[in-house]
Amino acid sequence: MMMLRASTDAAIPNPSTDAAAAARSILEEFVAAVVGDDPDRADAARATIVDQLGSDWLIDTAAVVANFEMMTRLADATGACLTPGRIEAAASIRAQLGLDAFPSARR
Amino acid sequence: MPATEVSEIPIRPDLVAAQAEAWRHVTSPGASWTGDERRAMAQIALAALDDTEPLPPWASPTQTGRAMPGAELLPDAAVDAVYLIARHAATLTGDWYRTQLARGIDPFAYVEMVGVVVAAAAVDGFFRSVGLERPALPPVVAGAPHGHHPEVEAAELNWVPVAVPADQQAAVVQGLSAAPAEWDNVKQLAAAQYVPVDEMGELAWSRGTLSRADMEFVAARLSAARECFY
Repeated sequence: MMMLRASTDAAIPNPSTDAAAAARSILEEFVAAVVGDDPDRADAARATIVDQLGSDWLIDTAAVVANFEMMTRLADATGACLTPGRIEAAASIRAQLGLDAFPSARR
Repeated sequence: MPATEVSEIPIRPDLVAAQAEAWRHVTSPGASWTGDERRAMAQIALAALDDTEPLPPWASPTQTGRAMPGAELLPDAAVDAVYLIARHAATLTGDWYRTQLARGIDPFAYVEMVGVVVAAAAVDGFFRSVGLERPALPPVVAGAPHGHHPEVEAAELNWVPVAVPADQQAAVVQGLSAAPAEWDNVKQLAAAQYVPVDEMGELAWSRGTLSRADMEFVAARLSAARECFY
């Protein structure tokens, strides 16, 4: 399926180069900063993306953030559930990441 | 900011167009709600997202007397539900959904309301992330709700009713199927924000910036930050 399902279905390889790993680190900090409540941290994260990756990356990363601000609410407000097969298949990674502790896991 | 100010960075035309279309959509009549009512929902959702002292998930604007823009146009139950979906979606439960029905929100109207809130969250999310002022909602398109709804049935994979046949698609896809125009709006936004539908199966697809794997990485980090189990 698409969007949130694709987020878990798509194989996300480990970055194979130092540059790719650095980019992932920048993206990780950007997401953490823009969902937080520290405007200075968010400004710094935007500046880092623009300086290190380019202004197009800022736009395209913010667009992906926007998409999942949309899709997470869609899933949670419509009570979207995983099939039993997917629940079973993801048991170990859920435990590893602590996903069962999310309030939205109570369904 | 560094040498390049964010305000000087051009936004892709397809993204600008998708956001403008979303804004037109949420201020136009739907199947169950007028354009005035839908605009009021978007205003409340945006106010909830802007709230610097947000209500906790167990409180509501109407219980606490928190003023919300456009609230006078909506039933109290809708005001409260919009605020909670916008601000605390991860805390929602099936019992909470059934309470909304008991408070008088029709299931079709509920699903349409979700569509309005998620579109508002998308446009807000982009401008909040990029650090630019969010565009204002456009004026309302006058007219009555059209009242046309698809045939629906109960689903195993969602609390909300979905278009028949249920459970043939992923839960997040069928979630808005009782309000198909809302799903169409989500799809057109997703095509500009993330990946066009017809490219969804192409894991090497990219706009030339983030790889598909980078997009999924951002999606996963955002979903975890929002504590979205799905």
